[in-house]
Amino acid sequence: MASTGHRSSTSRRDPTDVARRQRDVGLERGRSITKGIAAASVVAVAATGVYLSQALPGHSASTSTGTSGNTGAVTPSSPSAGSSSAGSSADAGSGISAPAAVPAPAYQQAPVSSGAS
Amino acid sequence: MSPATSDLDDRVRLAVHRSSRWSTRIELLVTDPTVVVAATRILDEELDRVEDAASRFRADSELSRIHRSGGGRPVAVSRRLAELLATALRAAELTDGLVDPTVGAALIRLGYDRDFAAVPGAVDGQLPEPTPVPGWRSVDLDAERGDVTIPEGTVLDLGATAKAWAADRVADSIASRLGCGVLVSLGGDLAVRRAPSGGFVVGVADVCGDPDAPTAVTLTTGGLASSGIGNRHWSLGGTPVHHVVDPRTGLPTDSCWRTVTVAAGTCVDANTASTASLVLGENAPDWLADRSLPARLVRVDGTVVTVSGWPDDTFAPASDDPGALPC
Repeated sequence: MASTGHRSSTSRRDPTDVARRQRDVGLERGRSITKGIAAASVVAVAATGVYLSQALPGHSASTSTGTSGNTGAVTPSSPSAGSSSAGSSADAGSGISAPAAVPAPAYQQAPVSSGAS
Repeated sequence: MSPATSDLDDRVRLAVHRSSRWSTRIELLVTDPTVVVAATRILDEELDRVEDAASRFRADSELSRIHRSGGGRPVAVSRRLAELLATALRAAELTDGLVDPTVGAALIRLGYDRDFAAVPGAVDGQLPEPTPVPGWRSVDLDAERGDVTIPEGTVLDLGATAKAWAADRVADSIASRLGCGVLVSLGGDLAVRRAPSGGFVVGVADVCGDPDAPTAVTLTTGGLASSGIGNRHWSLGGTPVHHVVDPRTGLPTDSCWRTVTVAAGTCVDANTASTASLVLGENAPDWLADRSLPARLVRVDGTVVTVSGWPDDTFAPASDDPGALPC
């Protein structure tokens, strides 16, 4: 009996052990799902960033050798003409800029003057 | 370059540096007299670089190298020339081609083939038949590759926009590096940054440097430019001609205006608008008003038209500056 009992005890699964294994499997599955979500989030954020850097006005993903440095962004100045990929201050999209203030009348001698030259 | 003078303007307490270059009058005003030497150095260095890149008259300039290439194939350009070309093309686009950098060959046909000071008052030849210029859309600038392609036979003239671009560039540089207020005038195309209280006082006349300017205004920021037919003119086979070419005909524009002065956010924009207005003719006041650009236009008969809040003439006293130089 003792022997049978012993045999019986070794062939039957310990409920505590089964529960532990089930818990571990569940945790592993949850960790996998979490890792997947994290990886997908990173990819989505990166893709969104790349898209926005190309799509927003004034931004550029280009590393132009032509007008980099002082000028910064490089955007086509004339989509219709296909004639120029230079941009920066020469970006036609901004239009001709009005002055911040209208010139005021002056009633004194001027050290400089503007005129045809 | 001709000798320069620097002095302290007693009336407005400004340090003033004057010189002459590109057959035009160069003036630099700074609000801190202690930096005038450094500011002058910045000015001269920048103008040297612009000339190296964009002079139509110097055989060793980048622009001349492009012309010698014959056209039809890409030619590498420096970052500075790429910016100058982009600025000229932008001006053309914003004015529907009224301000076009491909007028170079037309100017040469009219006799303007060297620095203006060396152009004789009377040039042999006759007025050519009206012929449209190649057009700005034929210029292929690729800033990413750093090259430009022009059609065979095309000659670029960046004179107007390059001068205004330089004024903006120098003013920005002096204001940021030296921390003072500054006015840069290159032949009457002005850029103002960090103006003193009340602004810089600027006379407005038909010809840059005219001591009898009929009006004056104060500028606090941005740019001011004048275009006109009253200065750079000569005769071709006995026919009076001038340097403002209508790209649609390749001939001097037959404008109802003799001078147009425009204020804008930058000197480049002011120059673009003033030149376009001269070519546009009668429609110029509406064109300027649509863009909220204050302007003063003088008809050939002397009648003055103002737009977008430009003040009435003030009949300012004539400047008694003894250091006036020819434009």
